[in-house]
Formats: sequence, structure tokens, C-alpha cells
Amino acid sequence: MAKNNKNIRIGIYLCDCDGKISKNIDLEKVKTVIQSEADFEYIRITSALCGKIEKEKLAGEIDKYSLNRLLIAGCTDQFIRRQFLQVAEEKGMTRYDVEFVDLSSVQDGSEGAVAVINSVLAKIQLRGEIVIEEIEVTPQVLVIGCGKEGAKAALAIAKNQPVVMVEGDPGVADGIPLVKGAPNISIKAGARVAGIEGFAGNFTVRFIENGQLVKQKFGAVVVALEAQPVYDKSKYGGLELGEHVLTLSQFLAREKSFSGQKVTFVLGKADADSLLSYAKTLEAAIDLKEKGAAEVNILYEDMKVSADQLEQNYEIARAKGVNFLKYVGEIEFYSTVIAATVQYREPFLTQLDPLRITSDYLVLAEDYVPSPETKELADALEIRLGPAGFFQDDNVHFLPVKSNREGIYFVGSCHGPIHGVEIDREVATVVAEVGRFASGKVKVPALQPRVDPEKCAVCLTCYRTCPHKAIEIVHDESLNNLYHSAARMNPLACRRCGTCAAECPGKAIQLPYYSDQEILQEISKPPKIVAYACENSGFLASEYAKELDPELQENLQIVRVPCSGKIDVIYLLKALERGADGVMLLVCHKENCKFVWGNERAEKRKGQVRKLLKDIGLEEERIDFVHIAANQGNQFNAAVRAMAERIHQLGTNAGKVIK
Amino acid sequence: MERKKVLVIGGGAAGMSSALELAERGVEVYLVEKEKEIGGRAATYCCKATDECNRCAACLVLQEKDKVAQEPLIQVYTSARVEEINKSGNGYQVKILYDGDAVTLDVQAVIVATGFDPYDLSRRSEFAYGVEKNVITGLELEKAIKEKGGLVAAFGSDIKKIGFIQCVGSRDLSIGNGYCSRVCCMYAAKLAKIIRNELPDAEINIFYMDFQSFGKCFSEFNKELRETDKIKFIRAIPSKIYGFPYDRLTVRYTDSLVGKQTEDKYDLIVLSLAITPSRGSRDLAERLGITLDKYGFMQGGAEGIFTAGVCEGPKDIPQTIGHAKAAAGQAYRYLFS
Amino acid sequence: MIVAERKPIEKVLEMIAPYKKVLVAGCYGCVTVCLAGGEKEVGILASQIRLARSKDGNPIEVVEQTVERQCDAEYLAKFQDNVSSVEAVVSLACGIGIQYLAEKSPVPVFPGVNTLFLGANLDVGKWAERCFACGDCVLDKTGGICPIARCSKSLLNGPCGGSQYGKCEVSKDVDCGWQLIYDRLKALGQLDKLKEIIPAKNWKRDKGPRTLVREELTLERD
Repeated sequence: MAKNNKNIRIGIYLCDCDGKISKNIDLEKVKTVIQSEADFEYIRITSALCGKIEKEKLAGEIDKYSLNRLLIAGCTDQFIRRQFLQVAEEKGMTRYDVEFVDLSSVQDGSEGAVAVINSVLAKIQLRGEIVIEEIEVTPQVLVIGCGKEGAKAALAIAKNQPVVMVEGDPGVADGIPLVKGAPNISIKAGARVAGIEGFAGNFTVRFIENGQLVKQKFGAVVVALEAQPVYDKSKYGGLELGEHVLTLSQFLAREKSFSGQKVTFVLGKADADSLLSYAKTLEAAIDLKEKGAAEVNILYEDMKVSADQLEQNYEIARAKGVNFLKYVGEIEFYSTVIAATVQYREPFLTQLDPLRITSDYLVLAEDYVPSPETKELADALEIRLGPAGFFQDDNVHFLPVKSNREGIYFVGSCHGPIHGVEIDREVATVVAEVGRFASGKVKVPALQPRVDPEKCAVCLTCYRTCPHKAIEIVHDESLNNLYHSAARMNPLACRRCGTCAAECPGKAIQLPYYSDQEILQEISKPPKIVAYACENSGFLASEYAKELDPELQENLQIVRVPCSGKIDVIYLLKALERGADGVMLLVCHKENCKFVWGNERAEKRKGQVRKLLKDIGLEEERIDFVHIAANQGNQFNAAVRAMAERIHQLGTNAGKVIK
Repeated sequence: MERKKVLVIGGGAAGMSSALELAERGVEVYLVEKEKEIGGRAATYCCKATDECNRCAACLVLQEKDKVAQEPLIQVYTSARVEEINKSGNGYQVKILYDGDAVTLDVQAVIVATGFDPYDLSRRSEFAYGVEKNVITGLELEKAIKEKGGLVAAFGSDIKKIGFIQCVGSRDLSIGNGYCSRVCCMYAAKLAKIIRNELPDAEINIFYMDFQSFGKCFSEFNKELRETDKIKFIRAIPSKIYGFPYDRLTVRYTDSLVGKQTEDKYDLIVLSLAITPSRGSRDLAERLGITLDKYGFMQGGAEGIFTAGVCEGPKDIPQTIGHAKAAAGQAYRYLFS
Repeated sequence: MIVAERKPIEKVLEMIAPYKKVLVAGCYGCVTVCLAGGEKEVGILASQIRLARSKDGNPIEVVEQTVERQCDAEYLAKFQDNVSSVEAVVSLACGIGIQYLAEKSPVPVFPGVNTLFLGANLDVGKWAERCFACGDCVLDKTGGICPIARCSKSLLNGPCGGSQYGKCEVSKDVDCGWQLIYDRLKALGQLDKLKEIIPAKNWKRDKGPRTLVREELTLERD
């Protein structure tokens, strides 16, 4: 192996684990072979590196040979591995500088051991240095939304770090009642968010404040714009609101006493996508009963109670004498100047005539829609909306509080039917998330993709395809290209999917641990099938599948990628060039990509490669695309069997260059 | 500098997530799991995607498990249990039994993430669980589909009619469980969806009390369930299931939307069991000074003790992970303030 | 920016049919930005050529190299070693780069892309023509919208009769250039500009291919 990088000084330790390894592997032989071909500073065989004296010796050798990388082969014990890590860290290395090689599962004895060690050595060289960066950040948090939900978030966050709340209404300059007098909270009144620059930890938010552009720095942003109730009369047979017909929110806002009155609530005609009206109605009904209402009825179709405390409130309401009346189908409404009446059918008593209830007040549930500022705010913060125009993708990876951008979080009804105790829970999660910036410093390993400025054409492809808005174009005279500019990935904003690297038309971007060379090294001599597998789904499924049918994977090379968005067109072509008969892309199910759209990018690339093959007369069926989840080992095996069968039908890949 | 150390009790979704969150911030974690493997219950669940993800989130747990395996700051003890916890100095001294040996650990904080146990069916003989082999629990169905790859592979091709029974042990004041387990309606519906995907002609019915929504765009999901997937909803909780003298299961129920008692034949009955406090949580709570609510769920603990996930009350998987992160954040603040 | 797209592979294969060793030459300029001829596309084409030729039982060696710009001699010089070791070159630069490389190359140079137009990058994977390089800019008169590039007929004095509901008769997906000009001038309050008649362009290149020499900048001595 060529000497790659003079700054990388590797120490190799071949540990026999008290004689367990040498049963199958001749460590002396391994050492001799590696010594003759590999690039390292120091190598030694030890019978047990985990002994106290041995560890001290290790520490001494790190100093003596100025080692800055360790490759420890043989040890499999997690606990002991951590001790080696500690020794390395005490000597200024990081966890990324220490590699462990499991020799107990190596096949082909000594030769296999040499091959595994060599490949890890090559990876250490390719990876270069991964430093732990200490980044200065702004502890201050911006909370957008000054309702109850925003106030809850602000109060909780303000216990640890300063909070600014922004409110469009200039009238609240003297304070929002809910947070009045709370330390650490300031109010920006008469302002709206116009845009955002920078990244998690160091956002600069642009406000239009009383007509002026104002900029302010924040470590994180919490969106808590409450959903708004809207009365849709078409859901109530065109019933107009009036003295005796109120919406639920009108009712809740009323300060008058309902003592001695009859009140009937209607649930189930509106609010199909949430349970906020159920939660509020139960609370209101209990309150009415406690304050002496004569009769409280709740008409419902399905009593939604799947949130904290709702079933309990349902129980309390019943105990207090609230009447719960189940209906099916249509309800008719009549209102007069003195009362309002509903007519409905009791499902259990279908043979009876419809029942009528006349009350002093009829209270109707509303739909909850996103706050009108939602779209504009999403554009300003460059965050994604989900179903029905609420914030957040409908994707389990983002729940409960994450957005597509690091450092921007959601709380409450702006992103889902969140109520009561659950808002407190979300707030607690957000407090933990933004708490990372509280001390003003964050340590983060520089694992984000690296850009080679000589190759960067500043074309913006990565910038535009980054689902996390984690890329900036920086200008710096030291950048060695025509523009003195290059893309740069922010370590706090990047989630390491590698989509940018696969999209880059100049091959200027490499993701540490998953560089093109590291990945292509794995398919240097591919078997019949190469499967590029997302580590969140296909790769984990393959591990489970191996337990179910170990033999099936003998003719299969699984290549782990951080996201299917990292699967480059070239990876697919190279696998075929180098001798594979078929290539699989194993990706997460639709709308389940941890990185928003990696699976969609992969699907497009599948289409592209299939066309490239078809155009030269090769069978496009050699490229298979499978949606799979981590727990689908059987499906993994079925897909591999189907691929093997297809290859059997198609015969050998005629295009392979290495035959 | 010596790293701060935290004990996490329970290696399920909540335990793994809080351990990862702490490790990411440089805290060393001892993760103690009583089973042979970490992952918890959710690691045995199947994927409920059809053409697209149906948001069951079971995959998240396996991803967390993979991350734990790669995280050097997390020391996992499987097949282990906490024997003793005693206040010691600024933290706790913990004795665990691991691999037959007693191991003593010194930690500065404890996160309890002991999850749940499904409702104990031995108290409900009317469902013939344990008597009839085709009366199974939702958890068993999840596991079978995960392990075998599908319903037919798990239960044979004779399954033509499937019934899900909701609220078994939930929302039931007669046994003191006056709470909704929250997740069962949606997981039953999603299981029904994948069964429909596999068996286009099977009859799939869900016996329910009130159908509980969860997640985003629920109404659309609900409509698709009824109209496209042809899942039938019967508003009844069956009173009796019996096999003998027939080949199939007979289910007796009174449909409260029709008001008539009916007996009907089924091939497979799936019981959606309530989430109940895990066995041993009362004992653990007592030792750690954690208060319990009236159902036995944990409500926060003494100084340096935090609770995460379903041990604190029913939650779905993303909520559990979110809650665990919050608990880890609280523990972190406790350690460093 | 110059916008180009990959030539169909069968054309490329036809051009290089007689050869056993070729260079696929990329450019980090416009063709990288328009995703047609950067290092990645070089890799894709090279791989596709290898697979195709291998399939036909006529293996070929393909060398890959990309330089900063193929329209500057100094960068082209970087190809020297590779060009002298191959039998032919497929250039993925624009028509300019291909020609310039061909001038400097001892072996034949073939186009791997079709050079389409001068345009803007609207979004990932989307480009639109904006300039014809006519050499006589009228954008001051037309609200900053080029009638030559944006009108299908390159009309200089208002739309033709085929303009309907703001769309061009060529296709309903194409905006009428003159409608755009009208709307823009109206928004700017400059509709009176339309009253000026723009004289017909002299398209005849009476001095042959265009060149630009700025004496004040050249290194030549008087």
C-alpha cells in the first residue's frame, strides 16, 4: 500500500485474547504479511492487551511512536474496548481515531485476517482526520407564537437560557400576560419574522419590526403558532351562529355564568383530524357542572380519548352527571330566539323516533386549521409543511418536535393535534434539544461532508438538494478554484445523509466513513448481487435476514450507506462494470426517509441508470429497487431470492468488464 | 476528567434513546436490560407499510438499537437486573446481577425506562386466550408477522375472517383501568391494513368502543381504512369466544349500533391488550422513591432519578423517544448544574 | 451559463466505434453546473461506454479526466498526457470546449454533449433559454426580457397573431415573450417604450465568425 498521508501514524495491536484468536489465526503470520505491505508506524502482538500493565505500555507506545491512530484487532468486549478508548482519549485522540477489528468472526483464517486489517487500514487513510470542533453558539432562543403554547415553551426554556418571544401585535410591548414578570424572557412586539440566515447554534433571524429590518442572533428557534378554530356551517346543516348557538371557542371565551342553564355540546361533525375539541369540551362540561349548570349534554359519535387525561376527564364528567349521548349519521338543528334544538338518532334505539334536545345553549365543535401566518413563516425559516398545511412532514423520524432543519423545533398544535400534558412533554423535549446551546459552546465531531474546492463549481446543486438546509456557499480567497468560493456543510446543521455527495456533478463532496473510495472499495470484486442498503432500513433488514437464512447472503455483497440518497449513479454502474449481475437499492418506505427525500432521490437515480442500461442494450431489470424497513428480514430475503431468480433468467451480465 | 455516569434501567425504546442522548453529550451510560437482547417490546413489532409508510414507527427502535451497538460510551448489560440501589455521596451505588456475577456500579443519576407489560389475560377467560390457538394478542401478531413475513406464512392459508378486539383491559373501570392505552386503535388498524394488502379477499373486522385517532391526517386514514381497505368496524366488545364444537371460532357480541346480539364465525381473533405498568415497577418505584399514579404508572422520582417512556403512561413510539430525550436532557442538566 | 445535455449514447458509441482506447474529457465550467459534463457525468459516460463495448465483445479502455475549463488553452494543456496515450477523445464540454480541445489534440475529438443554449438554472434539473448572443442588446427597450430569446419567432416589435391568453402558439407551456414584455413594462409604468420601433437586426455576419479583440488588453505590441 502506498504511503498516503504522513500525518497519519497508526499503531496496530494484534490481541490474542488469551489464546482465543490464535486457535484459528496465525498472528505471527498476519504480522509478517502486514509488515511487508501496510503503511503504519508500529505493530505488536499481545496475548491480552486489556491487562493493566499492557494498557500502560500501550499509553507509553502512543507517546514513543507519536501514534495518532490505533487499530486494535482481536478484542470484542465492549467494556474493554472502552478502556482502550479512554487511554487513546487521554493521549489526545478521539473515538474516531481508534478502530477495532473483530478477528473471531473472520473467515479464511490468517489470510482473511490480513484482508480485514488491510481494508480497515485503507479506510483509516481515506478518512483522514476527524476533529472534534468546539463551536461557539448563541444560547438565546426565539419562540414564535405568543399563545398558551408559546408561553409554556418560553417559560420552560427561560429557566436555562434567554428567550425572545416575537409577536406581530405592537400592543403587547408591555408584556404578554402569560409570561409577565418571568425572568429571562423579552418580547419583540410589532415584529414578524422575515427570514433566517445561518445554522443551528448561530441563526441570524431577520425581523421586520415596526417597518424596519432588524437582525438578531439565536441558537435555536421554537415555532409555537397555535392552530386556530374555524366554524364551518356546512358541517352543521348551514346553521347560523347566534345568541343560543355558539362555537366551542366562543363558548370558552364567554365570561358569563351558565348556572341553571342547559348546555348541549356537539362533537364529531367537525375536528375530524384532531381531538382538541374533545379535550376542551370535556374540560368545559366538568366546569359547567361544577358551576351549577342545570343540564350538560355531549353528543358524540366516537369519544376520542387517546390523549393524556381525556379518559379520566370523561370518567369525571360522567360522575358529575354530564349526559353523553351517542348519535349516528345526521343531526338536525333548529334555533329560535329563546333556545336551540338538536334532533338525532340514538343508534341503540333505532326503532324509536328521532330524539330531540332543546337547550339554552348549543355549542358546536370547530375545525382546527393552521394559523394564517404558517405558510409565510415556513418560507421565512425555510422549513417544510406537512399535511393540511400544518408544520412538519408526516414522517415518524421528525416526531415529536423536529423539523427538517437542526435547531428549529415545533411545539403544540402548529404541527399536530397536541393537547394538554402532551404539550408539556413536547416542551420538555424541546428544552432538552435547545439546552445543547445553553452553555454557549457545543462540541461536535466534524463528520459532515467535506468539499474539495478545486472541484467545486459552486453550482448550487448540493445547496438546493440538501433536505436540511445545512449548506452555505462561502467565499474565501484561500479556496483554490476559479471563484474562490465553495460549498460548505455546517457541522451542527448537517444530518449526514450524503445526498449532496451523490448529487454533486463535480464529485467534489465526500462524506467521512462513506467516501466514494471507501464504498467502491467494498465492491472491488463483487459477487453476483450487490445491494446498496440504507443503514436505517435495508442494512438492518439484511442483518435480521442473515439470521433467518445465512446461506442466501453468500452471493451477495451488502454495502452500507447512510441513506439511499447517498447511492450514486456511479455506484450502480461500477458494480455492473466490475462483474455483478444485478444491483439492488434497498431504501426506506415512501415518506419514511429519515432525511426527507433520500429515498426519492434514489428512486430517480434507479430510473436514470435503468435508462442508461437500456440505451446500450443491457437489461434494465438488473437494477432492482426495493422499499424495505429494518424489521423486514423476510421481505429482504424474498427480494434477494427474486433478484437471484431474475438473474438466473437473464443470464450473466454481458457488460461486465472484469469477467 | 472522569466522565459522569448514568444508570438506565430498561433497554427498550425509551432506555436506548435516553442512553444515546446522554452518550452523545459525553456521559457514560450503563444500560441494564433484563432480556437477552436490548430493543424492548417494540423491537419485536412488524413493519406496517403498504405502498408507503403507515407511520407505526417500529423501525425507529431498531435504528436506535443499531446506534447503541456502535456507541462506545454505552455499556450494555443484558440478562441483567438491578439488585440494589443505594444513595451514596452525590449519586447512587447500584448492584446489578449480570451473567451470574454481582457488578457494582457508581452512578450520578438514574433513568428508569422500564416500559410496560400487556394486560394480564389470565383474568379474562371469556376470550378463550390460551385455550384456542387462534386467539392471539396484538403483540403476538406483530411478532409472528415480523418473524414469518406475513399472515399466511404465520397462520396458514385458511384464514378468511379476522377480528380485532380493542380495549381489552383498557377503558375498563370494572378492573380499575380507567385510561385509554392510546396506541391500540391505530396499531390494530395498521395491522388490518397490511393484512388487507396480503389478503385482498379476507374479511377483516374491528370490534371497538370508540375509535381513537392518533397522528396526522387521521380522517383520511380512517376513510381509506373503511372505503379502500374495506375494514369493517363493529361497535361492540365481544362477551364470549369459543371454539368447540365448531372448527372455527365463534364470537358472541352485541352490536351497540344495531342493538342486537349476534354470533359469528372467525378464523383468527387478535386481542388489543391494554398497556399496563410493568411487573416489578411498584417494587422499583418504592426503592427509588418514585410516586405512582392510581393505575401504577410512574410519576417522577427523587433527586437524580428520572422516568422515561411508557413506564410513565401509554405513549406511541415517537412520543416515547421524545419523552426519553427530555428525560435525558433533564438528567444532563442535573449532572452539570 | 451555457446549457448542454448528454448526447444519446448510441451516437457516442458510433463515433468511437473504431477505437480501443479513448479519453472522456470533462469540464468544471458551465457543463458541470448544468449537470452535463462534470466529473460525475464523465464517470457515468465512461462506465456506460465500457459496459456497452464489453457487452458487444469489443472491450475498450476508457480514461477519465476533468479540467477547470476547456475554453482556455492553459487548462487544456492538462490533458496532454492522456490525449497522447489514447486514440480518440470524447469531450463533454460545450461546443466551444470541444472545438478548442480538438484544435490542440493530435487525435480526433468527438462531442459527447449537444450544446443547447445560453440560459438560467431555474432549479435542480431545470434550465431555460435567456440569451441569443445576438451582439446587439435591446433589453433596455423591452423591460429586461429578450424578445429574440423569449419570443419563438424572435420578433422585435410586438407579438404575432398566435399569442393567446399569454401563451405562445408553439405550445401552451410556452409563455408569449411579448406578453411577458408587455406585462413587465406595464408594471414598470413604461408602456410608452413600446411605441419605439426597433429596427430589423442585421443577422448577416458580414465579417465572418465573430471575434472580439480589445487592443487595450492584448499583450501584442504595436
